[in-house]
Amino acid sequence: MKNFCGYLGKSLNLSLRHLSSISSLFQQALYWVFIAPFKGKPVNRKYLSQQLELIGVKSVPIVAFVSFFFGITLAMLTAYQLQIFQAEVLVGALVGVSFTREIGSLLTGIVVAARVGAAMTAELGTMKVSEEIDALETMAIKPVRFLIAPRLLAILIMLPCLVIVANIMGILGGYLIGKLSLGIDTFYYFSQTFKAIEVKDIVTGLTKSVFFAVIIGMVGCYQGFIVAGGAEGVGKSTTTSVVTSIFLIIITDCVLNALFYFI
Amino acid sequence: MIVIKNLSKSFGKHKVLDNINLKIEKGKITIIMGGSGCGKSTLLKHLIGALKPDKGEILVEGNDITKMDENSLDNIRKKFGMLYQNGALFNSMSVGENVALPLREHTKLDNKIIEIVVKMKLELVGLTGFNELFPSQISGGMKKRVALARAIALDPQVVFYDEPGAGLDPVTRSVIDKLIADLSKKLNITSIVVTHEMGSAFTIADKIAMVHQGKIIANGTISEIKNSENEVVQQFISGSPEGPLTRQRSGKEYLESLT
Repeated sequence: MKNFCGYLGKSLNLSLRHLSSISSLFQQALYWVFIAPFKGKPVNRKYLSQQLELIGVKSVPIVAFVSFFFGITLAMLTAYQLQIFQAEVLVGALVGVSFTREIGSLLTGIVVAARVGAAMTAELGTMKVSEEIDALETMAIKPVRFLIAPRLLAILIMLPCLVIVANIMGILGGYLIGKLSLGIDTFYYFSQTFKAIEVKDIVTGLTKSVFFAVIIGMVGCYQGFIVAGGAEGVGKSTTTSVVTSIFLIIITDCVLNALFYFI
Repeated sequence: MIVIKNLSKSFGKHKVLDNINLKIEKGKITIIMGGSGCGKSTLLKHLIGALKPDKGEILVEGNDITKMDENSLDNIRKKFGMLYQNGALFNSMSVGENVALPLREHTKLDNKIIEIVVKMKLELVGLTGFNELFPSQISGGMKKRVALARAIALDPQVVFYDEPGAGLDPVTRSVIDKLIADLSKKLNITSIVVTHEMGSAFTIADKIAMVHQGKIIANGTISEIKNSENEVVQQFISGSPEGPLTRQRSGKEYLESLT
């Protein structure tokens, strides 16, 4: 019992220290992204465009692919249950609302956390291990401004865009089942879908994506900055980054759903 | 130029620097040498402001950098250059972009002027025409030279070298030593070199300070160090396996260490 309490205390202490460090890093990142540009110190456009391409453009295929097939799966599962009530025609509405309100942002967040979050941690961790981050500080270049700000801004811009792609592909996946398996007319399917989707559903999904973007960006960068112990350390931090991001995304999603329930 | 006064630093119970006092003269090459784990790299990190001491001062032209905030420290760092042991080049950037980085971040020079300055710095280190190559495409010695070109991009007053000869063959090592000496004399740069390679130290040093167990045990010119009566210094210079650095413990000391 004593050992368990000791372990719990140590874990809590470590978690609080990490929380404090990441909060401080987030505060600095927010300054360099939103305030420093108005003081004549904008985020470097070249690095920002590189990150926009890496985070956004190169994630489109996997996000589209995963969302499309999830749309197919969701349509099949909902149709299976709706058959009982002979209400298969509502598949489009169900898939549409589910994707815009929840699945689009959650699925995209998880896919991007695995792809982009891991890449951020690995790249920054390798830089840490090879003293490149120390070299930046010695050259009086703020590592947060140079490395984190472009990444955070890029993911804040790109993740909502990817969620829109996910929503469209998810609806198209559902349409495939609706058309081929359930024989629903194309016009009828999409009119049912758009009749059911409200603006608040889309706004809910996109708002969640902003929170997820912050989680992925900050956890990925923070884990990279605290790497220690060479290649093994980089590997461990990369794994921690992905697991922590996904965990936090799901918890945040749950909390936001509870808040949005009343809106 | 740089004065270190009563500098002490501990990590937990382990005292790494113990009351260090040292003067670094302007325009000279000062070697900080010592065995592995003696505290020389920790001392170097204090000099570039990467670590704060538990006690003591580091005066750079009269200003104590240990008490400065990050912005003031950044202003001092613009007068510094640093050559890391492995070069610390940014692998995502070409050789030219690496050297240009401090110029792009800290000056308002036109791109064309920056390109000219980059070419001049690369020529100084004997790497003309290497602008477009990436760090993965060049040898270890070339990486060190590119890192040196980057370190002098802003014409610093002080350049720090962390084990510049580490991992290099003897010929390349002597090329780097010659570069350090030439740059120091031609550009009047104050050079602080952390190394344990005696050959390099005796070739280029104006002054040598030896660090042992966190303390400076010898400080002087090459001949003063060579003629030092300190047993540790003599064992280090000669590279002998027998001496105070490797003295066997007594049976009692061994038992105490086990229990």
